[in-house]
Amino acid sequence: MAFKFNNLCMIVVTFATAFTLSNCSGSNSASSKNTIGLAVNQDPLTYRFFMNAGSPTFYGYDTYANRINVVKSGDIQVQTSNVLSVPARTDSWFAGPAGKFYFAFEGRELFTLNPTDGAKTSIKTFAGTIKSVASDTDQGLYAVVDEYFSITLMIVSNEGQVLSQWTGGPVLGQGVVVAAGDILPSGQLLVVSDKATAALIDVKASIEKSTWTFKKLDLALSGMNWVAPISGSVDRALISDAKGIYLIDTQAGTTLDSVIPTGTFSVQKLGKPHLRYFDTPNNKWIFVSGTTGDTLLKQELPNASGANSQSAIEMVYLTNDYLNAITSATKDKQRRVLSVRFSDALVGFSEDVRTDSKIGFSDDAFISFDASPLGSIGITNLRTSTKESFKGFNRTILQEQRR
Amino acid sequence: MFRYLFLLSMLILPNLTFTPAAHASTFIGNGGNLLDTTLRSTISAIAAANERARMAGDSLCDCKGTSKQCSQLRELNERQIEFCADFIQEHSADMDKLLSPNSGVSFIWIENGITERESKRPADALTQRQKKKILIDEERFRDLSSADRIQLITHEYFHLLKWKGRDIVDTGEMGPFSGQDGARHFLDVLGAAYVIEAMRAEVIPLQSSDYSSPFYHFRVGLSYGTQKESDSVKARSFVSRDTGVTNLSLSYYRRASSNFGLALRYLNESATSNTGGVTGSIEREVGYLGIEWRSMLIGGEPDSWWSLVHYTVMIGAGGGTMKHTISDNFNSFDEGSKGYGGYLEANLHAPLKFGLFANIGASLEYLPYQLKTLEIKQKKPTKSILWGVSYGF
Repeated sequence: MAFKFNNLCMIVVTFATAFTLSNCSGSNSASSKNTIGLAVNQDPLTYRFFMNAGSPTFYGYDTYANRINVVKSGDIQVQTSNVLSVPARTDSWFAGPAGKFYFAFEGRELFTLNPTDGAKTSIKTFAGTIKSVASDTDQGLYAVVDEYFSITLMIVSNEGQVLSQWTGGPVLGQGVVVAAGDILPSGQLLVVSDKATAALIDVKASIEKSTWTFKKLDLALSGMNWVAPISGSVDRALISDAKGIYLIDTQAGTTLDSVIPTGTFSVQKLGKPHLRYFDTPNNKWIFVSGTTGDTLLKQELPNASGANSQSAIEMVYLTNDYLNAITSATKDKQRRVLSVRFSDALVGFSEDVRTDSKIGFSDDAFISFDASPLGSIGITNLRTSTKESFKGFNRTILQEQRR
Repeated sequence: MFRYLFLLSMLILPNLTFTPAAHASTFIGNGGNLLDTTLRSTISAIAAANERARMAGDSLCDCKGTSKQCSQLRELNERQIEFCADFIQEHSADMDKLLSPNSGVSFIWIENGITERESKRPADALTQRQKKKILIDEERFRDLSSADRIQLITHEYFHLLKWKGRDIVDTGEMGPFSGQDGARHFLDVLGAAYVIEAMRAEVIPLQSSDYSSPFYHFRVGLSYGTQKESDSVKARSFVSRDTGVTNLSLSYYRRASSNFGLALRYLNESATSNTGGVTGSIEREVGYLGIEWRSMLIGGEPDSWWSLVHYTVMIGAGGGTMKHTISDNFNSFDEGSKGYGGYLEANLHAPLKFGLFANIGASLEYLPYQLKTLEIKQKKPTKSILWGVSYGF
């Protein structure tokens, strides 16, 4: 079962005279440079959008009712948690598997929230503020990193019970100092060092032995600062440095393919992890992502002048076949959700959305979490344009809370 | 001094003049009359005038003013003035007895006019000497000024006295008042003299007031107010303020002097407020039909503003429709219902002019209803404070 954690990073990319995407820099945004997994968002994000068994599942912390809403495409109504015992900070929680529990963190404390009774169970208090999280919720593996780059590895049951955990520092030994990393589908934590070394950490063994247990990889790349898994591949991973992106064989420790853009580029993990850049001579956008084979996949879109020029892109989400994006509202245009097909650059979907609605993408759908105290969520299929709306699910609880 | 005695008498007269027995005979049939208080004030003023007349000296039955009663006295010659003054002095003690609570004099309000049996003349009042009853045309009495009322009732009181062992009637000569209507003229002069003495005693104003009269057949009113919703209803309706009430009222009294009448109320109750981005609104339209009781507040000096202040109490039953709406920018839930209940309302009406009154009051409304979808249940009585204006005619 594919259960992929897709963080909705708020990247701001601007179209200049053409389809000009700025570098998505910043420690906590979609580039996820110098982080393990994904940065804990500092900007409020009240929801997470998962692909669960091929179906989009929405988890949203509802600030109005102080509980977590779960919406799956095809559902009749919103599933809601009990009112939480502590106000979950909207930018600091992520959902556990199957909605049975929710991780949350505030500052230095990591805890779980039980959706049934809203109870809080503390797991660990870190020395520093929690900065990033990598996870493979199917396998119950988590790596939580604080501001001092202390890395806590955890194995968590589907019921939310922390079965085992261990915390180590960023110096692994053998010259490996962790600069970035992520958990791969193999269950291993791939970390890179900025000194041409990488390591494939056995998470379970490290916890059992309470010491870093890893296999060192010599990749002959310097300044590595970004690692991303490739869905469905246990022995491939993406690594980026200051020059470009590389497809790595994690078992052999070799570089299989690379793309080195001539100009600026950005990397992100929203949707399908990728690098993108503008090919100036050919006036087109290039999106580079991983495959299960031995080569990187390059997809391109022509520079969209005219309608999209002078627009600002709020967020992009890459899939195998589509680029989903939100353009920001401008003086003359509404905020708009677009989906562009790579094969022929067809804009197959376009819909204006309110500026105060939070938008999240899955591969084939987007969710609109509206600024509605009474509750309003819409899931729209980007391919068929069909929309499911969920309304008013907070009314009763708000009535109760006001008594 | 007379003024203070008058005010004191106003406080005790209701107990002295109208004993239970007298009360029963006075208020035939309906158990009370709105004009009773005015009549009490009039009798009190006559008593004060009678008290003063005893010590008036040469000024009695003499007047240099311009009022209607004064003009009547100015037309008297010396002999008539002297006769008038002597008559009053001689009968002052008897008049005191008549004005006392135990005199046995009772009053009957007549609704459809009075006609003298012998002369077939219409009259504002008529005295049945044997029965010691004074019949009063209530519509005429209502429309008279306080001075005219004193003159009228004084006239009738003197019918209950004797002169030279004879009954005092309206016909024939009486002293220097000659002619077929000499006696009637003299009785009117006596009334006028009492009016002047009442004015001198400062128990009635020199000029008639033009405040609105409370003796109306119809009253229409428009009031606004606030209704205290229960905390539960407000919370579940997302309404954070009390409900505003518009109260349109119509009251009907068959007689201008009736205490009881029919009352109709139309209430529009609404409130809208935004709480945390959620807009809640309550809309109710309710009608009540019931009975209304009206009464003077304290009586007081005739024609004074206070003497015209009155209150009403209405009780009724009815029903209406209600609708609650809960919405934000993305949702709108509304649900309506019908309900039936009861209504109690009390108002104090302060006279203005041109038939208008300012009123302030309170109401208690019991209108239970339930909105199942919105899970809102109204089950407690709600209180309102009202203020507005009304017009009586």
